[in-house]
Amino acid sequence: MEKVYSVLPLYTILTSLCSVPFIMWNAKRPNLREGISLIAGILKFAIVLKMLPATLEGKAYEITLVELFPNVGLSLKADLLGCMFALVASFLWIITSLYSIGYMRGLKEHSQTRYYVFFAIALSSTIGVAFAKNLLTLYLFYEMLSLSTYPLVAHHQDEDAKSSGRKYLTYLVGSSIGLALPAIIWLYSRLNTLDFQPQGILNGLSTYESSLLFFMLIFGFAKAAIVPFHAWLPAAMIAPTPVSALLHAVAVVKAGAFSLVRVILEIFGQGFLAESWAGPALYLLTSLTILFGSLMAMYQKELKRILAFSTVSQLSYIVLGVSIISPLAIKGGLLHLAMHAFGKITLFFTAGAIYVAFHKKFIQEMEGLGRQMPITFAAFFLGSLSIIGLPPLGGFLSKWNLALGAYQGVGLPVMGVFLLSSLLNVAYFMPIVYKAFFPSQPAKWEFKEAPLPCLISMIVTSIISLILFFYPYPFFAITENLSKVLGG
Amino acid sequence: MSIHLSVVIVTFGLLLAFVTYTLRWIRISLCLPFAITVLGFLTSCAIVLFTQIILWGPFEYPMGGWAPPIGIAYNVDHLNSFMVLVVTLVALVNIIANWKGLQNFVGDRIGGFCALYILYVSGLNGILFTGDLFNLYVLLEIASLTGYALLAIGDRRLAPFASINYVFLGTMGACFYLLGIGFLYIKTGSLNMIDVSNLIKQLHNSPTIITAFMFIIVGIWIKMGLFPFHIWLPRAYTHTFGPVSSLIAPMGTKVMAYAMFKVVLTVFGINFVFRSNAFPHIVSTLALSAILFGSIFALRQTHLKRMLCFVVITEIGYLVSGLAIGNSNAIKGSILHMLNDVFMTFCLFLSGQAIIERMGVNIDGFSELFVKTPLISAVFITGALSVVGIPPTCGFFGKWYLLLGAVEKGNYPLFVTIILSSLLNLILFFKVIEIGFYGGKVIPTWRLTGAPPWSFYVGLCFAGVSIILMGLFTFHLIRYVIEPFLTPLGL
Repeated sequence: MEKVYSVLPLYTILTSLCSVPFIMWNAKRPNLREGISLIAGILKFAIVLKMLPATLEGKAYEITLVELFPNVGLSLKADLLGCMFALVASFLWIITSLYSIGYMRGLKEHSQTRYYVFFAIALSSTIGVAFAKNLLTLYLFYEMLSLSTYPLVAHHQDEDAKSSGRKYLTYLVGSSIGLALPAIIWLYSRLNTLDFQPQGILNGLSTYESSLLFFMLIFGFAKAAIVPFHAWLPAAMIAPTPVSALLHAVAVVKAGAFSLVRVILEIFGQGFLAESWAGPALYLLTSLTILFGSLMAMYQKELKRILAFSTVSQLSYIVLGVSIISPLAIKGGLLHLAMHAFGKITLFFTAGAIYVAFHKKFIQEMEGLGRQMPITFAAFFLGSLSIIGLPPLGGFLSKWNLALGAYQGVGLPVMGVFLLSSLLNVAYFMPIVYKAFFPSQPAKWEFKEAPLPCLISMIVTSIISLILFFYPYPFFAITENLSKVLGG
Repeated sequence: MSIHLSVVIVTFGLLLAFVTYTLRWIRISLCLPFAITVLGFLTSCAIVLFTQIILWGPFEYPMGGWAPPIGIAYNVDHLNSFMVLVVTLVALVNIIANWKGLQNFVGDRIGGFCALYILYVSGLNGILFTGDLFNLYVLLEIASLTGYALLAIGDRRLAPFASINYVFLGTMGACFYLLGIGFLYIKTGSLNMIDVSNLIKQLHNSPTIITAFMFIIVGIWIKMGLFPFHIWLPRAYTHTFGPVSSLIAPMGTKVMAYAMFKVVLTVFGINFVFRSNAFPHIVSTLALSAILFGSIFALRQTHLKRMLCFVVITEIGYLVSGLAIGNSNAIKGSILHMLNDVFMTFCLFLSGQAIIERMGVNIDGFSELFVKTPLISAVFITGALSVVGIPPTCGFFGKWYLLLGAVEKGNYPLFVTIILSSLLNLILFFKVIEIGFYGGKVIPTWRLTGAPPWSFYVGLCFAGVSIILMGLFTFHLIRYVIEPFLTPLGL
């Protein structure tokens, strides 16, 4: 891999971090404050776009800010994998900022300045996770992300928010300090380096030791929500919907999945999974999570909780995908990182829109609502098709590759898990859409939609989901390259 | 290169302290500005000295021109010159930050206060520089006696009592130390640290030397406040006046920790200390119980300052755990933590004091902490994150080296304990954050309203920024400050 010294990765992180003082400064001028958020988002996206062509050719922009330990520094590296995640996260931040304007003003929420400030910090940390060059830098931004999202999750500052916030931090920070950090230190003491390398950097560790460390990291990065470390995600649904949308469908959870992708492919390497029992154990664990998440989603009454459990399940698709030894599965897993983001954020947007317009959270109350909010429910329909993995939506492509790769790499059982979970997805998403448009009691067609910014953002994301099916070129090219480099 | 600077820092400090006091007869309002000037002077000397050490390496200063084994020598190296820089700088920032508070609280006794303050700092600087065991005792007494006097300021009823309590235990510690060097002197006939360390190489099995070591180390541990010799610490630091606790809590225990490293590593040497497993085992047990005890007891406190005192006790556990593990990385970790802890404790006590002045001592009364005191609580949280060990705050890096050492050595009990105490500290500070965010059970008692003076913000920003900077420059601290100290000792 060709290395290019460049400050660009740092600028990507700083754009939103530097917007923080300006956002605080303009606390009393909401238009300007939200304008700054949008501009920072667009800048961030532009910088990531600028780095994309070179990374597609196999280059990586690198910068070491400061040396911390021998061979390990606070270093950033914008390689293809990082750029892909950053691309998705920064693009969806722009859309979410737009959506936030409609949602927060529509509900007349309190402490909006605090909300935008921590949102910007959270985004910086997410990009930091994407561009981390080594495990220590990743850990640093990972912790920053956990802490900066706490005020967002606990935004309502009531008793429910208190207990949910407590659960959120206990799971995320507790697991990262209790499991991930010791494992990182242990790895460092054995390997004397923590840099991510394609094919992994593992050597000289016994199978027992490396398997132990592997699972400490898998559970330690609890943002990936692998059972039994998933309970924080449904609890975090107490947050305002834009937070759930961007953070708990894209930034935070994908940061967890992304960290595991780095750990699996670039620290341990697929060779390790092939040789030890850790591979099969991980397949089992993620398969369980996939089915568990889908099953739990069927029993939920609240729309956002359904989405949360659905996310739990879909995150394990990514982790399972990259751990299967087959280029197709890796491609599918990485593709799913992007496709799921667009689909799931659409669903969260619609959930928020319903709440803004009608203050309804439970799916029972949504019967017949499709006749009043046709655009919202059309977007919901498209989003859920993408999550289920049906053509003509982007989600189909990733699931297709995943299922094929699973068949190639492991065999029928894992492929069966993917297909079964997709069926379950149909079972919990489709009734909602159906009942919304065809209620048991006849309902009037009366147009009452959410505020315009909300509508625009959900239309944009659902149409992108659609376009990604017909024109998946950027993500195809990226994942194709990555699966060659990383899968070996 | 001027080697005299080392001696200037200590003696000028001691002398100018009295000048500060005499100024009260001219004009009482001159005392505080003069004291700040003196501390500023000491700090700039320390900066120049540290730069010289980095450029030209360590040196030995023979006091009065008497050659070392007979005369007193100052051994100035990378680590202690940096420590002196840290101590004087933090003392300077502390007095600037509390400028207004001092004038209001101490009133006309400001002359005496400033004199004690400078004497205390000079005593600590002396302890750091001296290469003579008995001289260390003398300077230790200077620092202790002024410390007792300073700690007695504060709560009119409780502070003098807490201070007397400390006097008894502190004197006991100092006596132990004195007894120990008495034994050493009987056996070796020398008091110079380097001389003694050469002489006892042949005497490793001598019971006198072993007894001397035990007396000295226990004496130092009592002064450090290591569990179970910590009983004086929470009471003394809790009831005293804010600026005093933010001076003594960061420095007192840390300078004693430096004395411990010096005695263990330089005077007795790793070959003596680690030749059997007895010492590491004892230290391991003590460190482990200090860390656990401190973290658990901190959880039970509702008085903010008392809680911080137990955090200090936990931190002392970290400082000795390097010796418990006993390999290069762990000792690096402990020394790094010693340097970082000065800033962490300073940050917590300074911002904690400001919070107490506004919202009372009870943690349950910190409703709307973040809305009403945003900057102060931001700095407090930075300090708290550093104690928990979240990068890039400096607390993370000391723990990293300690954990690294523990893995290399295979000392898993300590490894698990350090992780566990990080989690306990997380719960501890999260409790404060939660109350600040959601409101607590007790209605806050607003004692003081209005923004703090600008000088306080200077101190606050220094405290917050220094924690991050110390963290980011870990590599340089290790390479240019700690390794030059450890490498000659065989670590």
